Amino acid sequence: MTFSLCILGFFAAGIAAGLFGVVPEAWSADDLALIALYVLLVFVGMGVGSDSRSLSHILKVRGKVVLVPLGIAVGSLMGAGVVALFLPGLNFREGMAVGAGFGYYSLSSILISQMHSQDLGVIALLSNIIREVITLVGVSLFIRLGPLGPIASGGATAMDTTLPLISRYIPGEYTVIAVFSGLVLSLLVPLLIPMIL
Amino acid sequence: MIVGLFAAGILLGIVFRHRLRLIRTASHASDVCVFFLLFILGVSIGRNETVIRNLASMGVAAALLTIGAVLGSLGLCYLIHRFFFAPRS
Repeated sequence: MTFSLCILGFFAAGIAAGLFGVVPEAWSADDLALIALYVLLVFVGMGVGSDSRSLSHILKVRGKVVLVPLGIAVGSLMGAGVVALFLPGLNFREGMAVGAGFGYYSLSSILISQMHSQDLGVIALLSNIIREVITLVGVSLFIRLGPLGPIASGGATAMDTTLPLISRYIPGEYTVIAVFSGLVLSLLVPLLIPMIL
Repeated sequence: MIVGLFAAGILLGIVFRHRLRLIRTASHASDVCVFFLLFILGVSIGRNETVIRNLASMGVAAALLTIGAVLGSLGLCYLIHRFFFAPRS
């Protein structure tokens, strides 16, 4: 829980810093985030590699593992689509497009604002950021639904930004499933959004 | 790129799996990276005037859509785990 609070604290501090221009404009947030993400991937990979059981396990569950990203994709599209039916100014299709970001906010919001509208793009950005935050804050709750719970909530982020926290809660062998699922969902984002819109 | 770096990390992890202190340091370093990434995420939101101005109305719609997507995923994954992953008793 302390870890989640730290994360929220850093997130809030970032918003404040961005709002009040504390961080020099010359800093390209995208470039810095990308570098941090790359460094993070190597460290997280080291965690998986040093746990020899997790690698051998993926070979055993190879067939079933495909069901995880599939279930997350169908669940996200349908869940967001149904909610959109109850929201003013949004239809089922637009809801599905937002859900199809799977937490990959940068790519999904750019795609949606270019293919549909700026407004839906902003909603997609917020929604998919919220998905990441919900996953980080709610991981201890979702794990009660089984080891796939945090992976399901994380969506595409289960392979990078939420992985370090998720991997603290799920059994070691499920870390590889989280990365696999996040990878498949990340690849689906640029395929599904144009299909839906 | 992402897959390549992750694979490189896994290889490093396999090679250094008996160097416990190094593995623990890598785990701490990944926490620092997460803090940094979320700070950066906040900065890009704070800088985006359109987002900040319409944050309230769009935020509510976005939050509800997210809850729908997360609940849908959680429900299906619960069933998948129950019928395909859980050890048979």
